[in-house]
Amino acid sequence: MLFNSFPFIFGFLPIVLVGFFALARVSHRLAAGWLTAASLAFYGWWDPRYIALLLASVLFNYALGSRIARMHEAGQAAHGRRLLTVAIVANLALLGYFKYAIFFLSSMHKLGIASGPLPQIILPLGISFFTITQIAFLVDAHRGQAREYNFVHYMLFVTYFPHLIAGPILHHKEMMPQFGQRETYRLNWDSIAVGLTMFIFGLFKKTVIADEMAGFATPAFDSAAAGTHLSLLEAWGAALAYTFQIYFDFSGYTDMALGASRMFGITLPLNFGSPYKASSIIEFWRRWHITLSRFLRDYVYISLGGNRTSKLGRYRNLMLTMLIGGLWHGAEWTFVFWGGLHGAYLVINHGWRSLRGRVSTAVGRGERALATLVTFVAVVVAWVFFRASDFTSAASILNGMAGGNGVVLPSQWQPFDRVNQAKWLLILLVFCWVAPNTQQVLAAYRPALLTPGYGDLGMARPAWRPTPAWTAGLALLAAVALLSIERYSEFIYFRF
Amino acid sequence: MTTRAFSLALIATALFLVGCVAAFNWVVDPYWYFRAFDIVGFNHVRRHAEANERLVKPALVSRLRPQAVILGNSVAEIGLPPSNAGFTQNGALTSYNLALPGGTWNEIYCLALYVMRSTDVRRIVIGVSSVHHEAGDETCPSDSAFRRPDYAKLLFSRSAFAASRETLRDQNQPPTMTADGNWYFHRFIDDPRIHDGATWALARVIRRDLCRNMRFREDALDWSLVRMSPVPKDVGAGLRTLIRTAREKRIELVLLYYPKHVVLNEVQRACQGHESHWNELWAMVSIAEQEGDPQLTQVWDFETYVPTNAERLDGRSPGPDLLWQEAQHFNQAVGAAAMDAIYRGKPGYGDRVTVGNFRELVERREVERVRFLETNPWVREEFETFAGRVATVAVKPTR
Repeated sequence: MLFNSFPFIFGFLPIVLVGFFALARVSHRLAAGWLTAASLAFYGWWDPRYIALLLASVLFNYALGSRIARMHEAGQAAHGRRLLTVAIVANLALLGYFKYAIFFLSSMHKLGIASGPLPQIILPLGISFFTITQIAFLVDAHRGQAREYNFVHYMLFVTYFPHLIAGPILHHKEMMPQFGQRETYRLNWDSIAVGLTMFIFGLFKKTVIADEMAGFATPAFDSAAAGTHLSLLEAWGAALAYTFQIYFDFSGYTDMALGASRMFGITLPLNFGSPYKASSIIEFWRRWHITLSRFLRDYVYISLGGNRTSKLGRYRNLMLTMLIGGLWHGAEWTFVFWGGLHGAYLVINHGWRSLRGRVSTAVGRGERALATLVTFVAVVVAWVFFRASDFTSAASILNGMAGGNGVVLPSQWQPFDRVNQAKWLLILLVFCWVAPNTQQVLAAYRPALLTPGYGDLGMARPAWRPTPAWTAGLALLAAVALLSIERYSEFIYFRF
Repeated sequence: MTTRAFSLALIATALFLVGCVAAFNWVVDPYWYFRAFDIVGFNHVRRHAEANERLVKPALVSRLRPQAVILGNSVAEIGLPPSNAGFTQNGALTSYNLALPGGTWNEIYCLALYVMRSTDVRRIVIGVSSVHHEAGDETCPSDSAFRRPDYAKLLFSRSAFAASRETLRDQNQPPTMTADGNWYFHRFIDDPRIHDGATWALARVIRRDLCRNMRFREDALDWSLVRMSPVPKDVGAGLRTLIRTAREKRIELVLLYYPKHVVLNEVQRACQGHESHWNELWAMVSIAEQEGDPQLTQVWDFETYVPTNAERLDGRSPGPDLLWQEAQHFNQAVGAAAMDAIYRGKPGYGDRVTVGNFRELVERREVERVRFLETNPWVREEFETFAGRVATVAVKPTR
């Protein structure tokens, strides 16, 4: 079920919300069970057969995680470590089978190592997310950082519908206490109001902006894949349209996930913080998909040795982490390359910082603006690989962006065309660089859990308040967003 | 303002706004589905209906339950008038044109089965132009999917709202569709550039689907290439299913080989040979005879060399008496002549084709062709001009 669908907005969400608070009057355990059952139904809407897979994964990890934690408490670290290894391998095997088996087999086919027909494997929705959420839980259990083991709460922690399909990736320790709090089960109109506001912001971003941008990006990328050589403006138009499509798609999804959760009184971690305002790639990854960055840092980068090694070793760890991050996004070499490109950006960025740190530390406004522009262009170039169906079409688009196919004014950019792509792109560029984000607008109401060092969460104007003006403005946004739900339009991150 | 008041007011206001838009869309009805109001100067001209036919037409047929239905692609939608007196038995039968622009054989097949199952249809005309009749019902959407209109798109959508606003604004514009499903295409647009554009578009289609370089065929039909043996039973599963279903339900079924402009006929002959059309037609006739009831199932062919199919395309500005849009799409005057031939027995245009008269028909038509081309040298001139366009038109690669 999609957040941006009528069945979710007018059926699932209100029914689950009313049921949750009605049952909470009887029993908190019952309310949590209701929310878990609703989350499984939400998941099963896509394909009920995969509920069994999700449940098996949850039961397996709960059983092993509890045991690992008991071993930690009993001081049996070595045994715990062995069990942790088994559990992680099992999780990766599951992910590997469903997500990467065909990728590796087809790669072997291309290299001539293997032959024969490829198996038909359907990628279960959200498997990347619920798998790494639970890997993090297992590691936390081993480290003694996962303390509560209520089974219903654990089920809810993994399957909780606002984050199940595409994140945010949750930490056990930031969710379990909320499931145990009495206040969570009491209807709180502040939370409803904040949640509604965030949900409407997100819905608008997805249905009005991201889907509009997809209308520009998709034909251009498809056309490049079909062998058309895009001119300079067409190629930049395509790359920028996708840049904003994925931004508003993911930002919209995150707002809707956090908003839906907040209506239940549960605050999810910050996942998106105006990433195109970043003045470096390091900063970009502290603003884009924050919970994934956090996971990669805590469970991959640090496990590889992190900073506790030579400079060269650190750069190697960075590259490896980002390659894994790229592969996590999708079983295609273009995703791996995208991750590698960002790894290279990060290495250059760290190198530059280290070099610059020796000369001067002061950064002027002009320099920061230039750095923001350079970072943005680097990110746009990387998105081309992320979006393109193969390296040939990515190279074709980049060639167009470099002017290799000449400069022709595309038809969408003609001044009298009704759909003026250039105008859209310009408005969105300014919006991304200047406008406050959802968390800043709602900062007074603590809309998200913060991770130190991540995001950009100062208060900003216009600050949200429950006033008639905000009511009217948001109602208008909501109406436009609802009327823009015209077609089945998945979030990009649902594919990962 | 409390957050409780804010939340409730927000939800109520948003729903009110959406409700207002839905009510507006229902009243204006730009896609011609609800049909509650039809007021001249308000919503009588609905130019947005033409772009949303797949959204509306199948669901509408369930509601209107016409007794006489036309199916096919844009050629049928533009050219075959459902209000034809012969087709409707002088108005005794309600009728509707369910043809869809770009309609594939599979779509036509699925819609035909759906119409036969779900309505009170007594008479169906299916316009065909080539024989790809392998479709089986496993590829069709369910009847309920056809029957259920997408209310989200019809009422609760920005595009419907925009269409409603433009419908109010467009009332002084010429109509693009009729209430019974005909599409006017370019008929009332007196701009030669539009027609020229359509001709280029056709050239693009020919180049992509048929051939790039073509030569006018001066040779005669090679009879050894014309197949006239019964079509094997395992060929044409979809067409056989249609014919059998119609026979079982006692529905009159006419398979109408579209009128084809003589220039396009020559293009097809140049690309695919003289015998291509005859082999296609034979396959259909043979299957119809094997599966159908001669009283109920008929095959008609209108690819003839007569003045109706030979309006000059180049060098004439279009007017209200235009018979053809371009070489592919004929107007309702031509379609009406075809319907009159089928349902009123009016002679002079087209022929009912059977296994029994097939050979005689081919012989007669080939002689007619040679005579016609001798007395109308402009056909070759227009062919050469069109062939030049086909050879030079740019075609975007497809995936």
